[in-house]
Amino acid sequence: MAKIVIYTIFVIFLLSLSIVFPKIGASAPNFLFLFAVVYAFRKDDSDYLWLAFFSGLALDFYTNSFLGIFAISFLITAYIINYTTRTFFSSDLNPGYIGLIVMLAYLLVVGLVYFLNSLAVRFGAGLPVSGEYLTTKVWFDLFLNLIFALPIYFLSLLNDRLINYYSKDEGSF
Amino acid sequence: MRSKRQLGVFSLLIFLGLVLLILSINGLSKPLQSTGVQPSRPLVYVFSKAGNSLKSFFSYFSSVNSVNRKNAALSEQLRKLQQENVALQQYKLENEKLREELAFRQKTSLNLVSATVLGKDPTGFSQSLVLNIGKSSGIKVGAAVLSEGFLIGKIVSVDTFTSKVLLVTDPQSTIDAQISSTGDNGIVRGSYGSGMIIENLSQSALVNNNDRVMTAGLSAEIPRGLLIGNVGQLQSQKSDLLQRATVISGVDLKNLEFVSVIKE
Repeated sequence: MAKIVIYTIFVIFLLSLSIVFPKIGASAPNFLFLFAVVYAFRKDDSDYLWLAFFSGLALDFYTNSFLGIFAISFLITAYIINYTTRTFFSSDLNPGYIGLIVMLAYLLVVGLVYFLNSLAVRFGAGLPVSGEYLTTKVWFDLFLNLIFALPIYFLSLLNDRLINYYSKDEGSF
Repeated sequence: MRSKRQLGVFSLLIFLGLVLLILSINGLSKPLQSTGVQPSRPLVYVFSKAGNSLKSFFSYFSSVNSVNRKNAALSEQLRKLQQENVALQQYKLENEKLREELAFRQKTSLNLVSATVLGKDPTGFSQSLVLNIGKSSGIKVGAAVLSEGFLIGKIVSVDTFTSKVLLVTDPQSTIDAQISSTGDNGIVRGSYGSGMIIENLSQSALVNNNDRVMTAGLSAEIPRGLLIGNVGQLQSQKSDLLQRATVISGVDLKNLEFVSVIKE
């Protein structure tokens, strides 16, 4: 129970941070994406899947897109990261390597968001995500995400500490 | 065993995501979206406020590093006063914005509903806002949203207690407009980087810097005569078939807190 509450508070906190964080042009770091990626990289249990899904869903609620687009995109990206870093590549901590993972993961998320959005627009009425942003926005987004990857990594460690602390308390009752 | 469990959770969540997407495509996800936003709203509000305070705290903290230890007590006092000052400035700004909004509402004959901006699109993929009013306040899709008398966008989706606004600066936004001094018609479109452009103006149209750009009222939801902004720079060449120019809004669209929505 403590785990769910702490995860929820962190997701809402990062969502709020994304909302208040000043945008440079149209670019901003995607804190929830980084949180989901860091967990997919670090964790072996299925927690990271739930976290990726609900982080994406939180974004879905506050964006102008179809519900589920970010949730599915984050989920697929997290699963691919977790699977590949344990099957084909290493999951050792190395700043350059993590940077590469964050970069590829963000491009994958953007691709999935655009693909799912255009699919949804084709089947239903709604606004397509503006392609005009793609050329300039994404590269600067990538840069900002790389800068904030390390702070979010440390935030995930803090999150784990809190979960361990409160789970111990729960066990003693 | 572990990977089988992960695959199971993954499949379950993908299924759930697809169900949400299908519901959303068919317009059936509104109650769910509304329910999803409601519980997080107070926490998002609190964290957003705390985030703003944190921002001002860190900017102050960096300056404290340069102060020597003897002045620590004074610095502490200064920090408190500055925080108090920031809070007061925020109240003042809030007050001014409310007064400006109220002044416009008293002048106009439009049927307006006041709203507070709950959030902005955090991803930056679209220029949109979430407002704290929805169907329960009589808000409908397509309704024009104003701030200090300027058109800032239109409602694109409505839940029971919240609604989403697509800002005039989003590239998806198009509004029929006219230059007030000459009556020449054009289309105001959002452009990358939070700007606006009026285009499709005929080559014979006289477009001058600072000319007022108003809504043309060609669509049913957006009445004629709402101020969109002023003409900035002319972007077209003499050889172009149609003219285009930048439009500068009279309000800061990045710092909106209170808006008004036109009710039918």
